[in-house]
Amino acid sequence: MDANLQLRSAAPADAPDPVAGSPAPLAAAILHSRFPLRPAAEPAANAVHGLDIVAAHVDAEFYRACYRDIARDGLDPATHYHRQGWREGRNPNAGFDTVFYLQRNADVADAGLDPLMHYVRHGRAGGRLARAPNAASAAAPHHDDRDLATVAAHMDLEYYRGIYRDIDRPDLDPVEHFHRAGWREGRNPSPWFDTSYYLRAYPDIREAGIDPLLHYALHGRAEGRHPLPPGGYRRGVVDCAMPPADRPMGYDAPESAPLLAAEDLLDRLRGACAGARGLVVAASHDRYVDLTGGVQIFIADEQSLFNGDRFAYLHIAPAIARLTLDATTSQPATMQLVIDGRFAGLATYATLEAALAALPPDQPPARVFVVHSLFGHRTANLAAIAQALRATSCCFWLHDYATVCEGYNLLRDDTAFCHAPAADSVACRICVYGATRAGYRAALRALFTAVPFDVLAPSRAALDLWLRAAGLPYRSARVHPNCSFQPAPPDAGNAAAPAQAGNALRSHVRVAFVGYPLPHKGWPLFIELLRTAQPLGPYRFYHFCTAANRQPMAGLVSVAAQVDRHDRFAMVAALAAHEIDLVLVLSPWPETFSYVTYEAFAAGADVVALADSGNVADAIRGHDRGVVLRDDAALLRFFTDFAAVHYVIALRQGQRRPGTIRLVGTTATYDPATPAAAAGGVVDLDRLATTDPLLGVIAGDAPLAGVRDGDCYRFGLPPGTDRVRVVSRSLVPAATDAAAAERRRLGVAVGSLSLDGEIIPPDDARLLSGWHEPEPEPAQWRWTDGNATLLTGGARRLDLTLASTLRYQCCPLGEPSR
Amino acid sequence: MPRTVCFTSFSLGYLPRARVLARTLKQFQPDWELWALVVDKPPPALDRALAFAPFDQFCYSAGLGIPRFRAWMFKHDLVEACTAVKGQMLLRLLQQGADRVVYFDPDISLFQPLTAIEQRLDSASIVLTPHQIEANATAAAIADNELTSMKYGIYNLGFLAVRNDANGRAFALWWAGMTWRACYEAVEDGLFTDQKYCDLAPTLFDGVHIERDPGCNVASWNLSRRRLSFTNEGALLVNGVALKFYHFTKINGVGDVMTERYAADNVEVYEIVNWYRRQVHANGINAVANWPWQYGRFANGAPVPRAARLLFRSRPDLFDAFDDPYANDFHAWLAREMPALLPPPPATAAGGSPH
Repeated sequence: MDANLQLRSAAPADAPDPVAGSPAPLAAAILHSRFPLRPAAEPAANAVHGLDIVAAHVDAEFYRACYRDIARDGLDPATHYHRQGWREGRNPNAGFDTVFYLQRNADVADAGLDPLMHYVRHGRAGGRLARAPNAASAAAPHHDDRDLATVAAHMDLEYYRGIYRDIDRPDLDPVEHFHRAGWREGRNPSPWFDTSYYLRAYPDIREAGIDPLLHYALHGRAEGRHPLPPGGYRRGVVDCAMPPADRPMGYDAPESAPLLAAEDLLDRLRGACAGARGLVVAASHDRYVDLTGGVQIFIADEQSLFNGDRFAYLHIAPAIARLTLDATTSQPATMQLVIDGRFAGLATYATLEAALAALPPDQPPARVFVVHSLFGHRTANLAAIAQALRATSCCFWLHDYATVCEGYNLLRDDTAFCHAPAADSVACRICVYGATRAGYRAALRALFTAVPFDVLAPSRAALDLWLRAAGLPYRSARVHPNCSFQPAPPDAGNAAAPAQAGNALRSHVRVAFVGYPLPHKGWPLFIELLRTAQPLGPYRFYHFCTAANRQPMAGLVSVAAQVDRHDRFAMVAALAAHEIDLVLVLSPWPETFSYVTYEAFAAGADVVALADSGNVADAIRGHDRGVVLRDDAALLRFFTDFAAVHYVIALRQGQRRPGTIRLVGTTATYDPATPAAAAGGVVDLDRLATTDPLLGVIAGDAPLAGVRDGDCYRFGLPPGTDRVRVVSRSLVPAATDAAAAERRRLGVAVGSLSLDGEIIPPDDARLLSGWHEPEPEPAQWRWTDGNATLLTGGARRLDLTLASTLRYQCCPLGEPSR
Repeated sequence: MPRTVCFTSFSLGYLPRARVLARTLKQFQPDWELWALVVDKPPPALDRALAFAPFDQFCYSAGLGIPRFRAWMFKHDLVEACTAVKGQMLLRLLQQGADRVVYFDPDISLFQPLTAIEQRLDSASIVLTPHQIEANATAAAIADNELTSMKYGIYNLGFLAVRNDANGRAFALWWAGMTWRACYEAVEDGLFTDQKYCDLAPTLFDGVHIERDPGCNVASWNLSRRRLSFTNEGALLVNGVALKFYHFTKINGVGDVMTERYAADNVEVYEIVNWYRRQVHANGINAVANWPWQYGRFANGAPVPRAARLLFRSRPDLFDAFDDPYANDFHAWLAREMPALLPPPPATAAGGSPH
């Protein structure tokens, strides 16, 4: 804590103070918030007697140095702490942790007492701890050597050990390592000191051959030298920005993936399409089944829903990954194919075109062409595929703004939201994405002219921006949200802790960042906030992300959480389990949707975002669940002026109200026949529900004609058939409903099954694949997964009776067009 | 419509930068006639048509008709030489009948048409841009800005605009004369190349307009009081007005440190500096990539030491005696009379001969 304090107060003489120096008051910089920022009434002044006791233990110098607003307003530290400061979670000195004490001692919190006063009067004698036992530099060994002690005070040991795994050994003292060798190897001691930069910018230090961090701590800071390249975190982002053509490309496909020949591919397609209601061909920029991300999970959801309504789903992604169109023509381009969620191999566009063209025109009847992302693809080839497919519906999703600019987040030089100005503006001309914009847009225009797209936007914000800035032709355009959010009813049994006693903080304000730690997600601003606000006392900072992307840092709690097909609502569960108060969504560009925002709502957290964050700000305002702040400075002040503490106190007093997310989106729920305005965007899933399982039996690639009588079905099997597939609609309950525990894909429950009159018992080996384990006694029937194989051994008649079905979800695009 | 001629002066090491300047000039002032004044001799392999393509015309300083040209050049280092010829070129262009002449340093780029500058020349004869138009408040900034201006010149002669009238011609004649006489970096003597002389211009001539538009001649030396920003429509502003031209002085050198010092968190500055770096890289010409300045070496390939130049400046008898001090006879004289001034000759004649 002390180290961060010292580093923070060392701003160079002429640099603007990011905290106190901002001209606009905090209130003006808050664009939306449902709570007042200060307590409504002054708490009753305690007896002067209490203040006397406390005053002796409030370290005025510490308080003023730690809390700039106190110093700025000239308030008396002891009075402030006793009247208000403890309620806000401020600490009176370096040895007493207010929030810790209140959290540990519920009796003190319940009584609404100044905890420091309690500690002095009773707690200390009673053996109560003033702060967490392993708080102070437990991990850092004590150093007798003054230089090492100085270096230690300025190092972030968690960061150092976490970034440089090679030296993360129990026998190795990271402070010694850095001081003796680490700095020479260009290693950074913390996120706030750039060793290579310091030595490059200050040749006198480099020539002296001394530890640059030690120099900075002892002299450099006072001399106004910079520990990082000046310009803040955006400077680093600008310096790394490069035109897309200059970026390295990666070969993305799995090792030793087979290259499919035309006949092979046609066979697989026929098999996938046998008895299907429709075929979807979907394009995006990567192999979604193996990656974590918003677009990837969206595609997985879409594929799952289409498969559930007996559509085959063929996904194509480029074998060579690039964040722009593939403008090369010298060699055929290869794509990765994923069929119904399984990687099938590689194929060229030409092979796929030929295979699609060879499918019988009406089998399957519905043909849907969907583009989620164009990156890595050749636009002319995609148009040809849509044509070979004989697509009856062509959908283009606005998951990002790649159809406005190669800079698909509309961040000029990857830093600031550019508002998509005209291509001949100065901004476009100097931006790394500007030089190629004309040619890029021409390629897009050619595709949108050749293919009549129904443009689907996950949010109003995305659609409005696209309509203003893209300048592309389209057949129709509408908002089709990915999910909807319903708050839990007020008296549901899921209320959180009982109402707080008085206007006081009883546990830390838990603040979380969710997702990849990248600049365009706002990560640098988040860690700047961490550095600034962590020493203040009341805040605890969390980072929720995949295990591989955790960024170790002092004062940051990293939680591994990953949303994928197998655990659709993992993030909601993780946020709720940690009782997060505020989720920060700090994207500096207009997000087209932001699952994280809705996941936060569902977990009972409010969301803090910046202006120009698109659907995030819209969702916060629409659901009245959070704060929209004007800019970076306003965000920092929201925390350093303790407005965030008061906000959370009010939030907790009102009782946390989590809610449910319903996944109502993707192309699978899109109904072109419903007027967009009427829908208002959000799809009514109940209208898509059906109990008709659409049961069928397929021998080879041919669906068999059957007779149905209620829940009983009879099928005549052709001679020489040794196996058939029992197909039906299906559903993964846990993929669409957070409350559902059932994670299996369920088709139909077959109660009884017979071949040529012979009953097949539930555990029979002829139930070859696609059959779930028998249900517990006495039921014993087996669910299929929607595509179950049965060995028939030449039998000529199959009878089956369904024991149970589900409420399945229809895809409107499967209905015959009107 | 008045005919405006615009020129820039550079050695071939700065050719990429000059080409960037010329492209931005063609973009925003397509009606101006662009001249490249090359203070150098090109390598035989240079495809001149390609290298100077963005310009309308190019000429060499040796062809300007400067009296005792080679002896006179010998007295100047690279920066001094490139600035010393500007006055002569200005005179020549006025004599050839240009209605207006504009000069830009090669490391400048335009971002807007210069309509306002052209309008100034409707009522003024000479337009100058000061290094700074706003006072600084801290000791460090004053040292870097005000005190530096007082040493190196109030006005930045990376830009100059002159109308072809009596005032303008008088100024050109005077300036060319001053720079022929002494265009040196000698700050202690009150001289800084061609630039410091212009401190006198408003006092010696009528019709001098001092341009205080913050959008003109933005550079590291005035960033402390100027802030760049982009509008939502993509316009680039400086202190709220459109940026006209930016002077990318010593980028990839000491200019980076100065830029950093005063740009602070104004990230937009780094955006355009990085843009400029990319442009310079894209306009590189291989033939001149490592071509040494031809007025920096003796005929035998040995570099001309500064001490030898200073000697030549201070010795009118030597100036009279040696028509071409780059030639071997002067080098031989130095070797005989003042060997301490000469570095040891190179092992091989590297980089081609100066001829």
